[in-house]
Amino acid sequence: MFRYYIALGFRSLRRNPVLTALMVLTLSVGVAASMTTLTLLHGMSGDPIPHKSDRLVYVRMDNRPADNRNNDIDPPEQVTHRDAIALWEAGKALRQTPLYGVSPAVDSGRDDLPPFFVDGVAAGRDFFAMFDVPFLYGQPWSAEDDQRGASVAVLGRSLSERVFGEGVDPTGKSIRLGEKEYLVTGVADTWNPIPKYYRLIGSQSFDTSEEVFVPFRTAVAAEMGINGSIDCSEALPEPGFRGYVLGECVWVQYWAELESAGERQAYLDYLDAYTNEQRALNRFARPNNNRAHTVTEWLEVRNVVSDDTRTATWLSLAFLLVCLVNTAGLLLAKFSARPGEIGVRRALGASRREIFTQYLTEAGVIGLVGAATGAGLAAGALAWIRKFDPGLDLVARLDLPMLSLAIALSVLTALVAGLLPTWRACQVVPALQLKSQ
Amino acid sequence: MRGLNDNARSKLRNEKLGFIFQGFNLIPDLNLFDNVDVPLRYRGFGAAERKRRIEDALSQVGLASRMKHFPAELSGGQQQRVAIARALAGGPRLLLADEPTGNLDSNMARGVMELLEEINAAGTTILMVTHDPELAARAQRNVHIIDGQVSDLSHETQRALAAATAQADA
Repeated sequence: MFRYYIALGFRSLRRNPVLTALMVLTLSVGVAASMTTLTLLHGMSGDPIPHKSDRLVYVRMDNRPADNRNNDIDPPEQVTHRDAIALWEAGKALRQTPLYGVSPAVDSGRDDLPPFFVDGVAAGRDFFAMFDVPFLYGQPWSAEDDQRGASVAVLGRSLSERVFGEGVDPTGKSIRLGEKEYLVTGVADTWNPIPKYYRLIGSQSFDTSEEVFVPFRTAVAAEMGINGSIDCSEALPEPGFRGYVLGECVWVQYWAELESAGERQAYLDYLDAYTNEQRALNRFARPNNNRAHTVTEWLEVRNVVSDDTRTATWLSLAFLLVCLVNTAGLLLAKFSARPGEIGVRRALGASRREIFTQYLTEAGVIGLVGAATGAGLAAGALAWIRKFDPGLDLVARLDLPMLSLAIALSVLTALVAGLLPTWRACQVVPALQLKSQ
Repeated sequence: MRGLNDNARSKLRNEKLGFIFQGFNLIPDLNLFDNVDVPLRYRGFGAAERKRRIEDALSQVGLASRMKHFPAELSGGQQQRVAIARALAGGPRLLLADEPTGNLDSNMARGVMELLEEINAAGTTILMVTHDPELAARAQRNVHIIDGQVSDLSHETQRALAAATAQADA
């Protein structure tokens, strides 16, 4: 019987094309506005690594001098090179990595490919396992490479294909980054976590992942320029890059992966013990103010989802409500014009429940058509957003779950809008209607 | 009837009664097949059974060849025949006809009456309201209603009522 009602619903669309078009347009505009903002919100606020986001912690320590003018209660968002190395060497977590952004120049040695800069990350080998980086070829460099600062690198797929060609495994070959040759140990497959949680400083929150990865010590030894922010609370002991390495300058982002979420307090205790120990060396003048943010906490701290996005989402949902009320009015007009048919159906044996189901299904069919149009409009709006803000290229895309949500939202809106008109349709007294025919 | 709820009344209308209206009351955007199908859908018949009943009913009223036509493509008499087919398709025990020829010219009215007589002869009771004495004269029993009051019963009807009263008294 439900298929019969669906068929009647689609047939009814043709009955009053102008009214149908108005309803579909009203619904689709409301759905498109909601889906556009919800897609952005969904992309921005999603958990990028749900199976371990509560075990991956981002470390912050307050190394500011006591007389520093910055009295923000929150500690700096990065750590010093010295602290990063100390924590890394202590290895108190299951996995850990310091990281900073680099932008080395790539010289392929090919005449047809002039040197170019790439976005990269200097990190420890644990980086790949911690952040679930998929490998197309080869593997990460070894722990020994980390220790000795070996000249090795992992390439991103796009860089590998650009330099060595598509479908070519460059493992074991070398690539020139800056002034040195690096042995390629592996190629990371396309990997774009949204948001790009592991490097929220020095990179766009919704940017694509880096094209080259080099060991942290190797990058520091090669004095690969820091692609990110540097904040020094004291005068540099030496000029240039070495000064950043030796001084109280925060420019390293530090992540640890814990065995379990429950170990976070123990890790914080360890950080407190570390800063207490450092205090003996006249560092960490302020009381302990260490943090170990989970991924979701860190995204919140960095305000990855802006208040503007949240406000726009609420406004679009309010607009959808207005569209719902309008659709209800139009459905009322549509159904009110058909008491004769309702009377005939009732006389021929339809119960009130059957009339209710038929007309509510008809409203649902309008919602379905509205969903198709609305999804099209939302896809168009998202394409427009991608064009005008390339930073949202990865986020402003209507994926399958969001498409399903668009359909569900539209049908649900139409059903809610159809409740009153349908209830009114059920109240038709057949005898009165048939007498007046 | 009074004690029945909406579902039970609907079931009764669907299974036991057939309705023929003065204004035909066909659904304009359904073709003849789908119009006759309406009461059968509520009856819950399977597709094959519905198809058989629809074809039989439309054949009975002489419109089997026009199943895919829409009501607006038919004359008034033909539309009333479709309405009769719709009423017959469910195999009702009683057909209620409210001035079935009221909107038809005399030729078409005659055709519809002949059809109703055939149906009646085949065993279906028909209760018909009409203002036309000529058509009323063709009925087996007549009840005259003036201003909502039964004012006169035909001889046949009086006899039938008397018999029923006597039987009740006994």
